[in-house]
Amino acid sequence: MVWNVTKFYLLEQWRNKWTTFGQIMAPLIFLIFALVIKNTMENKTVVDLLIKSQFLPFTLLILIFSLALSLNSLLLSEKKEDGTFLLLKRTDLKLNSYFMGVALGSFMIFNVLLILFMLSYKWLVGIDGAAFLNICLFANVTLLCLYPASYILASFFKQSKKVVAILTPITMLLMFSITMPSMFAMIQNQSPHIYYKFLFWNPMMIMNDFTLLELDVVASTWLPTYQYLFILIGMSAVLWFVALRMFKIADPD
Amino acid sequence: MELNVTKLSKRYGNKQVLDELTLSFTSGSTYLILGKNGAGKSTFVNILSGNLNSDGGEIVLEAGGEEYDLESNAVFQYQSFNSFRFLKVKEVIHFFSTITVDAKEDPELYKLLSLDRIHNQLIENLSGGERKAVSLYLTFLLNKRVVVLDEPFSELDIEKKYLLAKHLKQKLADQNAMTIIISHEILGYQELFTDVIIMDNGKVLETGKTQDLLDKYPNSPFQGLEGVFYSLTGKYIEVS
Repeated sequence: MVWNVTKFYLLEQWRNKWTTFGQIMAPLIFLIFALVIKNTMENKTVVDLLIKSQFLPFTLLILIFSLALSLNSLLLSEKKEDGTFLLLKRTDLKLNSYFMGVALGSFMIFNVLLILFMLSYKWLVGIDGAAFLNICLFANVTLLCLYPASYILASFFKQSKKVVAILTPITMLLMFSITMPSMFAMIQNQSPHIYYKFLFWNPMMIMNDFTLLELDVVASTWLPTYQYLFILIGMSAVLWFVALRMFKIADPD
Repeated sequence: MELNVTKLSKRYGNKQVLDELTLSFTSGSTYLILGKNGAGKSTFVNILSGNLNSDGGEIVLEAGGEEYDLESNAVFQYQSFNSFRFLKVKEVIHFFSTITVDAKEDPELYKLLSLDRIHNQLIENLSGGERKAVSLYLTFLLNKRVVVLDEPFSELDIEKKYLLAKHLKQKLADQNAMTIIISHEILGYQELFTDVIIMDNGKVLETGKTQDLLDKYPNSPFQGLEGVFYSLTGKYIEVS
């Protein structure tokens, strides 16, 4: 039954391609700009550094955000709103199987897009095989960590349009909490790592730091990789715990 | 099988929408809940379906002294079907058939609702009436013992309404289902309902066998169940 749900979920996403395309617009813009500066700026070393330190990580971060949070919280709130879950409860499909089917579909879409973006950047700046694989694997762990947050988000709002409204400030919070410390650190001529103790709650920061290491932009990460993995898995467990307690398939008044 | 509703209450602010509603439903009967807009019919059905929490009271489904789970034994047809917007009609029906063990296809109903003409269309592109048809078909596909229909005849054309009423009467009798129907459209469908519940201002004013009520309130300026409703409330029911 899980595979059946995945199959229909993928079919729906394929047919609803403008929404899916909207979700990957931002990472696509980063890729297009990377392509433009690669072909217009003369100092190739600076361009490669810029792409590796800014464009590539942000493409991945926004892609993770879109697939883990945006798309799924919208889907969940829409299904709550239109009574789909209540209807599914009348069938023999366990709702957990439905959620697993949807999650499997999201992970499949994510990985196809991730590989396409990574191959594009590999062609642009050259990424060695091991780094390519490590970044892809770590991106999946980050996605897994953030995914339950979509259930928490969908629990707060009865209407899908309210979820859309709240997604923008959340994106800004998650993204600016990475760019701002880097900027402060640069002004003070220090490493951004000095601010990371305040940002351990942000999986995007961890993904960003790990990506920069794999691309040889930084010599070391703030914490060793295994500690990053522990934080992400721990955070995922906490988010799942909260999501399971909070998420309801309907909002009875 | 019996569905017993005891002292069910619901209040929105100062308005008592359901006032200690007590009702009993049995298998093999088709109940019409008749009332003007705001009488509490939809609130009652929404509470039954789990869409809404009640403020008090109890709903118990039982048979032979044993209690059954209402959720797994009842199906609710919503006024409009908005789920799975990017699937085709035939795909939605196939999906629900595969996830329901006791799913029961009904080719006659399929044709009667003209689903054969729209089976390749996306739900997203269907009209209100077509969505209603999909919703109705799914309700019966799930093959449950308790069936709740919310305005099943609205948005259907006259011929379909007539054929549907005829088909439903036979189908519900064959299935020995307990059916609860909310409908403003009663003209011409009187034979479908074995029992009638008349509600006004969140209260049950009268309940009984259709024919008994017709015999009980003969002196009304209106005919049939509209006459019964008028005799009890002094109000006109909005019939179509």
